[in-house]
Amino acid sequence: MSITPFKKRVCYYYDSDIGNYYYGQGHPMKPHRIRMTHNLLLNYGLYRKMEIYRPHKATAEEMTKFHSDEYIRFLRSIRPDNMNDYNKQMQRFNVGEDCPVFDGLYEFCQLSAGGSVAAAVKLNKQSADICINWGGGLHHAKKSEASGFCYVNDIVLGILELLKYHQRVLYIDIDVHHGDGVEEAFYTTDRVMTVSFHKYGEYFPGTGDLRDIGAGKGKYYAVNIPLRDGMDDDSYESIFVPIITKVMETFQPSAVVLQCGADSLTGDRLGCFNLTVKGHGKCVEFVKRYGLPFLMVGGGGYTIRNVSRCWTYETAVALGAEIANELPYNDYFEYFGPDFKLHISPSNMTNTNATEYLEKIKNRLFENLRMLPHAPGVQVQAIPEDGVRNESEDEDNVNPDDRNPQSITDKRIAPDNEFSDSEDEGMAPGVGGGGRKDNRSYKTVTPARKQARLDSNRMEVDEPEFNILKDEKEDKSVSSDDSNKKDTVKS
Amino acid sequence: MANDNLEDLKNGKRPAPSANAEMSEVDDLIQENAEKIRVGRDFQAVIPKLMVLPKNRRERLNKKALLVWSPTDNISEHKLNEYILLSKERYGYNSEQALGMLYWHHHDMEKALSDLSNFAPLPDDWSPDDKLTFESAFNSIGKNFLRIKQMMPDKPIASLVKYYYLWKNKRKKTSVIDRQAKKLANVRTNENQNGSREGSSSAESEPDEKKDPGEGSSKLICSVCGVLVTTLCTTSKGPMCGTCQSHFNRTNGGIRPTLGPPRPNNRHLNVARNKRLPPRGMYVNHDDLQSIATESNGQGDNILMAMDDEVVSLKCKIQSNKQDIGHVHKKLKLDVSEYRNSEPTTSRITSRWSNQEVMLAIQGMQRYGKNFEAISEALGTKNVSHLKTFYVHYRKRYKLDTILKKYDAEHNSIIELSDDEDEQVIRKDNSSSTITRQSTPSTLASGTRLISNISLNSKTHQTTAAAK
Repeated sequence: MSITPFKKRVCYYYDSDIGNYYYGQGHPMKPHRIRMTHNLLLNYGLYRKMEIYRPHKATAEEMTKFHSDEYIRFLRSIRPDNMNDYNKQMQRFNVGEDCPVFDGLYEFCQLSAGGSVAAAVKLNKQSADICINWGGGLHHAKKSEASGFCYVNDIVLGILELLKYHQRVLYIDIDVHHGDGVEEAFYTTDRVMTVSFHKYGEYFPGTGDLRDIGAGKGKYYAVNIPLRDGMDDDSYESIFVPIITKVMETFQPSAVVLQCGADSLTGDRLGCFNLTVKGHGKCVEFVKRYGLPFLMVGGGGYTIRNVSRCWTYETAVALGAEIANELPYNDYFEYFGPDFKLHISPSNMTNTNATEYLEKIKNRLFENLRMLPHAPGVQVQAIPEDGVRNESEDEDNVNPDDRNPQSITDKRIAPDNEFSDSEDEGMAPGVGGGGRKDNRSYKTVTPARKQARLDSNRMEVDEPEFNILKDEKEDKSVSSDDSNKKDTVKS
Repeated sequence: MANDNLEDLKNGKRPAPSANAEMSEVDDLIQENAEKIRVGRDFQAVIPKLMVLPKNRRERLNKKALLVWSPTDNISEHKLNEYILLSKERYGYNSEQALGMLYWHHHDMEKALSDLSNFAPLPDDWSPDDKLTFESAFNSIGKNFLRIKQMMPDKPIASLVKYYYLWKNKRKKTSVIDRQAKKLANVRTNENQNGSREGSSSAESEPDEKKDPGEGSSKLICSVCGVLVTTLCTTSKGPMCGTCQSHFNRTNGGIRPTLGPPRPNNRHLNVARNKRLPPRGMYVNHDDLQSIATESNGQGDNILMAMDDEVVSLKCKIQSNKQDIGHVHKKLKLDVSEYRNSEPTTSRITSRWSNQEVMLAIQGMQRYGKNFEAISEALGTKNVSHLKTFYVHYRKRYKLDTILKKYDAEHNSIIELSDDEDEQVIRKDNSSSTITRQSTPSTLASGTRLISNISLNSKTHQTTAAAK
């Protein structure tokens, strides 16, 4: 077994109204980018290769599966013209500044959540391999609080739906901001592992420290990768691939949700990373190779021409289709000038993530992941269901019957785990000091950062060169990893 | 734009969540301001129980999302494109709507085609007036759609936003509205200053029109202003375009004053005008211009719309051509690299000799003797005739003959016997016969041996013949 079959059944969720919502003058969040993506997909001929769904509007009942009744009731009733009657509640639910009240706010939330929930249901039914909802991915929204342009957390709703039929769900977040809403929602459960790669240090939302690892039963099930400015494709890959490989190995999820926030791209209006569309898409490609039921959602992304480029490319990656670097003519063609190409090149901003720093994070996270029992909390009655599922799935899926003995041995070594828990706590302050030191060094870099951002804006976008050799290398490493995994399971 | 402001919006300004206030206060003392994930019933999601997938009830699981298209293998890409194009051109469908129709008929192309006319989408409900209102509202108010809506109450905000994004990047260059506004203004000035500046609108476009005569030989040309038109009015002074004719009639036989056919020296005088020159190869149909300028608003608009459509379809073609080119380029790159290994440098043959090549040639002679084919292959940058002339020229200087003799001595006892005459024969054979054109150096050595054998044989034949 090497790489899973290339062609996948892909379902795509889009409502033509979603581009018409407008957060307000000067607000960086623009739902229009979803329509631009859609238009590109249409003109690239990718549209006709997928099943296209128009999502239903999620009902209040569906949304209260996670959110509090009060909060949803508030969202449903608030409008720009009655805002003044809700001053107190607006403050309480953090609606107003970052998260303005705009025309059609509730409908927008309904469509975004409806897409993700419907996609999760579709995956549960096993009638699709990959589901895409670029209208979703609003990962900051909390149970009773809006945050960071997000009101209703469609990701949490989608994962809750997946959890009905999946013992373990993995959530990966490659937005430049920490996926705090999702992490918080599943902070104390061992059935969802949240892995977030994000800029950390004087940056919204402020959470996502390396030492935040979950609580209670969910301890070690939150993985945070705090990064500094200027992450480029190579650095990103060097941390993404080993961490996800390890997570897949130890957590063994039966479904994956990937938040593809495009504000980690170079030249983003709010972001400070230096990824190209290709580097961003590589994450999608890598996760796709595991052949698990796969939900892709949107997220941040505030330089809308690059967002639509990125998501178009990632849709093509999901489909396993190759698309030309020249953009086809489309309704928003002028947005992509002056080069009208799909791929973008990185800026010359400095990457403040030293290799040693990344290495240190990686090792620390590996230590945490080692604390995981290999197949956490497997319920016996869950196995037949999973087994049925797996038969029709790709070979990548680990057969739960084989996994069973492993979980038993894990239970046996549970006391060791507890011991190492306390050991870890003893260690924490020392490491914490290190973290703070890094924080300080970050501050000294601040002035340089803005300059770099300006430069990145000025940069002309060129066609990046293909690095075929490197791709091959990555292929091999993945396939060998997979086969290793299988071998160990078999033995 | 105020970039920093916006950054603040998302970075710093976020008010601390009130529910968390006391907790974070304590935390603040220990951890510099770091926000924390909160734990409690108010923050975590309730995890659903794991269920067994209901096998028999699968269909009941949802009717939530509406399927509007699903891919099919029964229809070829080409046919699909044709279908989309047809529905677009004839009924104004966009490709999404066209595919939706096809899916509705379960991918039955015939049925979908026959049904297209029944559901033709409504044309864009934005009239030119709407567009003008929007533009002026936008210019005075800015991106506040709530207030723009107050000026255009019949449009929902969604429609305003949609139009805004379509209009935004096009307004600088190709906005229909801009052009319409300009034309309207021109018409008005025409009306005001009738008589003497009667032809101002067409005169304005004259610099554009002057390009034509060279390329439009098959089209009709006004004899006065040299403009391409579709219909000419014959007058006593020759064929004229509509404008010139009306001038001719009104002034009782006067020729309309024009700048006439191209006068390049005239151009630098009015630089501002030259900016409006259309790109090379573009021409303006005079009749169309006239109808835009004079007839009712709707007419001119239609022409401009048609032109816009044409421009769009041409742009589509350009981009798809570019895609094709890019594809071919990529393929070519791969293919070439495939061949490059097996067939290295046939093209770089030059007659000039570098020092290294000389060294190589001499060493080649040591190894292959006078087998020039083999040596040229080993060198890669010289052909056989180059090597032959090299041999002739440098025979003495590099003592090539002694090298050859050494080679002969080492390699071939038979050739030892042969004299100069034999060598000559070999060389002749080398250049003429096809047998000796072996490709690899290793076989060539044996090849020469073979030839010398043959030549020896032929010699013995000759001698025996002579003896007889």
